Amino acid sequence: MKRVLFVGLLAVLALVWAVGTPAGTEIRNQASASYIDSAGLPQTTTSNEVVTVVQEVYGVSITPDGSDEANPGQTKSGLAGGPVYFNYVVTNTGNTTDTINLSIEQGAADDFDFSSHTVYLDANCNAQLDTGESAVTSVNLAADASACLIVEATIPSSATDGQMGNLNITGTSQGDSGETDTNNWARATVSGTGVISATKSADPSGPVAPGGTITYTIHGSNTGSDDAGGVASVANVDGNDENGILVSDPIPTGTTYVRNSASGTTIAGTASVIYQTSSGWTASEPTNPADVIAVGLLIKGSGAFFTQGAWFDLSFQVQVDAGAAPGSAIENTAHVQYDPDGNSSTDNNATVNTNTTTTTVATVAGVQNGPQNDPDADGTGFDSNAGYTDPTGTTWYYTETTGDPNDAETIDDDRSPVYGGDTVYFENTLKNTGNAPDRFTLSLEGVPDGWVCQLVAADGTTPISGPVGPIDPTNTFNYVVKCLIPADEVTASNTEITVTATSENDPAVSNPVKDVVPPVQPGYGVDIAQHGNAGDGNDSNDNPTIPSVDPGTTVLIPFDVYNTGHNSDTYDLSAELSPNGFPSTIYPDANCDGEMDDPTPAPVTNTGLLSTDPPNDHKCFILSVEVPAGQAPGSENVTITATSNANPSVTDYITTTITVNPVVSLDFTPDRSGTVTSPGTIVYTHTLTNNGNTSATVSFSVSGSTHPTWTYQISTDGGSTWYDPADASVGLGAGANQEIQVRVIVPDGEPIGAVDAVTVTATAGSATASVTDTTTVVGGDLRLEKQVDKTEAVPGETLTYTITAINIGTADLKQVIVSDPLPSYTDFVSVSASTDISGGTVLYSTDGVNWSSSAPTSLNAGDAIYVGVDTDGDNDISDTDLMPPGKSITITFVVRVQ
Amino acid sequence: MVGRGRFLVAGLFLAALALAASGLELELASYKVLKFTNDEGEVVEKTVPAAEVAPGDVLLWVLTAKNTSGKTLKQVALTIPIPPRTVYIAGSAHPLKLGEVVIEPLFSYDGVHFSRPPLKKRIRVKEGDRFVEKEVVVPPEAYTHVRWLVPRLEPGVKVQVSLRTRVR
Repeated sequence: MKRVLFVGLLAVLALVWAVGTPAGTEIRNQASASYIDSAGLPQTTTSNEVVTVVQEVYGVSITPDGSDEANPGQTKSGLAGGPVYFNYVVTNTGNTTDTINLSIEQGAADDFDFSSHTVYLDANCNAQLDTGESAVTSVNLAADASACLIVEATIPSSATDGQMGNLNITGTSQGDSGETDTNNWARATVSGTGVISATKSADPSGPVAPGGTITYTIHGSNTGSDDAGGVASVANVDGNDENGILVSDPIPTGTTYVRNSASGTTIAGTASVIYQTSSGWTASEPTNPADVIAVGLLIKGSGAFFTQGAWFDLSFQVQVDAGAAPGSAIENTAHVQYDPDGNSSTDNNATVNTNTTTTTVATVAGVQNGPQNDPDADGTGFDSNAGYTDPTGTTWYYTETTGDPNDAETIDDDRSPVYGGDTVYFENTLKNTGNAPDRFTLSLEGVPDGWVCQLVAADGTTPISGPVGPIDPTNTFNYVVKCLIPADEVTASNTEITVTATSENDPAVSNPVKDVVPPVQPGYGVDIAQHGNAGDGNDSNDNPTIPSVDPGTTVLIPFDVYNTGHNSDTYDLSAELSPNGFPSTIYPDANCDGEMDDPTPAPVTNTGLLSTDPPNDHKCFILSVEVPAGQAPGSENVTITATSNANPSVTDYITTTITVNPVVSLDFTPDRSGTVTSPGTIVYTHTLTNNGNTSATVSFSVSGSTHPTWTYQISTDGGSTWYDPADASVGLGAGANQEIQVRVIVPDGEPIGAVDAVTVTATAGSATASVTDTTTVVGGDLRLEKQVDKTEAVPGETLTYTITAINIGTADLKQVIVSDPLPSYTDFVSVSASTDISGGTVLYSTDGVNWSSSAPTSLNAGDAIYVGVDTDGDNDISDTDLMPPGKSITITFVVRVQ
Repeated sequence: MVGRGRFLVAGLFLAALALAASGLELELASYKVLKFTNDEGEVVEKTVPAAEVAPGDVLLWVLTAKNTSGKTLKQVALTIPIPPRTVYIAGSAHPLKLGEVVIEPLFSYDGVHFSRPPLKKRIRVKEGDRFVEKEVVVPPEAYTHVRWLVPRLEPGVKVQVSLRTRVR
């Protein structure tokens, strides 16, 4: 049996992209790093992303190959003047769409040149030239795509039996004319005998998925110049040797015969379908289709019964095995055994092969994408106690909603509560349920505004850029979705984010899973309270109570700020005081003892960082409030507020009241002394000042008098109205002062020299102040006059008092001493005196005891000057110093207003 | 800008984190490796910026990491993924020498488990009508990530690691 071998198509196409990454594909890469920082916290970072584009490459392949004229890849028989048909498959082996230009070359080492040749596109790849299939000089193919061609070549009518002609078809890439395939020689032989030419087609001509069926059709006809016949004992069918033409087609590896699918016809002879098993040929279709190793058509007839032009058909179906490797090629070639001259001699029996059909096992893509370890979301594999531990050490627990495609993985907020500012993690699992390694693109939908979600590997850090994989069939892949929730986010319901995994082998294949975030609780919180009570969960004990204070004091209010949120934060501190706006400053209390630290720290307006790990992180502060001196009694409201910097809507405050005590304080000056006649009166002037912060009503009392007949009165209106001390009172506003006059009325008959020193006390509430007024009785015939040169004076100006004492009586007056105290608010300037008492010397004293003829040059406040006239020359004033009637002493007393 | 194709800044995630730390700067660059014979007849290599590559070309990936935090960083794991459409060229990732310390690269086929070669994985294959689990050696062509784990990186120190891939 002469077999003509064909070189098959390209071997296994393992992966869709093995032939070359498509032009224009972007190769994207981004590096990442994780590390522990100086504070011991885990951190992650990523690099820039680099993008490189894949450029075009070109390539051509045409099969079957025939290296040269001596080694044609296929041989067909034909009649002189008739056509032969050569089948080819042309493939674009580049990575981008290309046009392959085709041209035919005639052989030189052969017996004849074909009289004409045309290349046709065999659009349905059935190896037959059908009406409507057009002539081409080029084909345009996408990367990896193929097209079937039929070259029709006409044998010249001058050719004789046994002669042969060769031709070659070449393909040249238009994208790169250096890419060619030029080794596709074919040969036509002119035959004088009957020749059966047979072709085979496979339907569908494109890829078939595992489990799909291929229909093979073999069509043969006698294209020779004579009648053909059968071969003796061509097959032993059910134990009987049979003669005839045998068409046989082995069931290809990776497929299984489909029962009841075989049928055949012939227009010459009788045809019956036979089946080959391991025991041989049989006419009864085996009940187990796996037992069929070949399908055949036995065409019986006697002698040269298969006349010129006679034809037959055989067709049957095979099913692609479920485990057939995707991309692998199922090749099939049928054979025909016949006797070219039909004369039953066995020495020229011929076997002819059809073209080889190649069917690619299709890649079927499939993906499941579901909750952690349960890609098909049927409940098995998912463990609600497993959770996912993220790079910071937090474990996220989930609950599962089963049932694809509405499956979901929800964070269990009983065990994993979610707060604003958190980064949440979901671990999902996908599974390749296709029949070929595949990559899957992951995409996110439903991410709310402001949230930042990222797809990362199962380590929680390495970013996923581009599709994940390659993942082998039935294998799984875990990935993580991590989302940063904005600091101020608070939600009342779930947030659903959908992750879809899409197959790269077949982008129409995808599967979603929902990652669900439960209601987001507030991530930030603050509690401010009086010292010791922050963060205790009890708002009713937050406000401090302060004892009342006097004006001019500093009030310290210690308070604490506690972070009640879920994330670290810093807080602005402010104090509002109203209605008076007392000045205030906030100081840190580093040792939290409620007392000002020593040395005094710098004031602050912010708490600094308060973390939530470790918990109970709070800081202590003191608000220092200065109550101004002289502040009127009353209340000042104090409000201290802490406001989160991360989320300014988070704020808390405390209030309290500073109560300013009313304070009364009196000042009553100066002490006075003076002389009075009997009878007589004298008035002392004092100044009463209210140094408290509130109005006071002042009452008076006089005590210490040893002269019960003397009368003491008080005037508070400048001398217009006089009151008994018990009845006198005056109201003074805070800071105000009032002139108070004390009048002494001495009755007649009091001895000269009688002295009464009394204490006049002003009282308002608990405050008192007093002055002492000392009154001395002097002789009644002595008239004293006192004049001053100005009625008004301003500080710095001098006042000159002229005091005249005259003896208006008829007898000598003894021991006349005129005294005058230095007025309040004045400084002594000078004193001088003169007299018209003859033989008298003016003597001065500042204490009434020690006398000098020199006038004093200084006088202390509250002191008095005393002037007398020494008439007996003893340098002293005693009762031997006389003032005769009508004589006088004149004193000039100059003071300066302070 | 030598040595990079078009590049996009992917800093969105880091910029949005409220209290994110910076301190380790990463820079990734890619080059095409060309082999040609020089005038002396030797085969030499030249690297050029990898703007465009063809199937079969060799790409050199260089990752530079610098500690800009001012403090010592620990357990610094530098990872270069093997991008899709490319295949790791075995032996092209060299150990990193930092003073006395030699850091061997670790490899992964899934981005999660890293180890020294040979890498093993368990897969399910069909034998007859059943699926069985088998442990197979993962060939270098199936590696998806390469990592160097630096125990300590002092402030200001810059390190560089690299590997090569072939474009499918």
